[in-house]
Amino acid sequence: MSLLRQGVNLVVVDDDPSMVRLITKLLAGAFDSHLHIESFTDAESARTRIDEGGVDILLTDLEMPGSDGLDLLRDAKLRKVDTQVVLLTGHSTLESLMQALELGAVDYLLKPVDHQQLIDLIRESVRRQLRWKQALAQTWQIERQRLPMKADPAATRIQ
Amino acid sequence: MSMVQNSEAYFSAYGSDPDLAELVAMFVDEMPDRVKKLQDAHTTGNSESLRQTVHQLKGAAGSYGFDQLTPLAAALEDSIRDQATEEVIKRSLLALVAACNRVRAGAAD
Repeated sequence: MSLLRQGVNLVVVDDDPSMVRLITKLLAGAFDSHLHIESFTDAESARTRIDEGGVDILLTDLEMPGSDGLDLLRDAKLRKVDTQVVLLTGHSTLESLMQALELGAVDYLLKPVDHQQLIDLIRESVRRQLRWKQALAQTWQIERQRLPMKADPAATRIQ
Repeated sequence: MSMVQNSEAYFSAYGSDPDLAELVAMFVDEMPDRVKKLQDAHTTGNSESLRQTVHQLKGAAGSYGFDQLTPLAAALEDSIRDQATEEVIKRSLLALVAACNRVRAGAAD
């Protein structure tokens, strides 16, 4: 699939470096090089990366010192509305989970992390992201075919 | 996923996994630093630092296949959040530290 060849950008954020190492290792082993994984242990660095754009999937810890996963979720959705956001959480209140859903999180993963569940969840997020990319590419092509007729008077005259 | 207990040592469920053994060994190597951080936070009375450190450990230990640490870390985190007595918190901390000191890299024989 050509869209898969373009790659999917995944950002992993957790303030515990050992969790970042484990998640990165598990995902790198389960997916081929088309899944580009970048990892961060603080929310500020992750925010800088999100602001650069192109983050397709954000897997972030919910509770981090100074900031939290919900802030990153908001930033990611503002920067790129089709970013798939998955939250990692050790414990959650109903309020924080409802808030995450309202802000557009697609799923959440409980700690301690079940390795297979992590892989399955990211695989589904990759599929969902590729479907979005495909839909956007198709729509863009249709729009491009229509635009010259509107924009170029010469083209309209020939017809 | 279950942790294997061999005499006094706790081995990770992933200790013999060729893909994860190295990471498990690194996690075990870093355990004394986590224990020191727990003890320092308790000694200085920094309950927020203690809660954050134990919260991290609770999530990481089970993820690394050291399941036996998870309920001990959860008990300590709950006692801090519930503002339990110093005696209860200290007892939970000692139980957790004792378990942390038993983790080993590799696998049981």
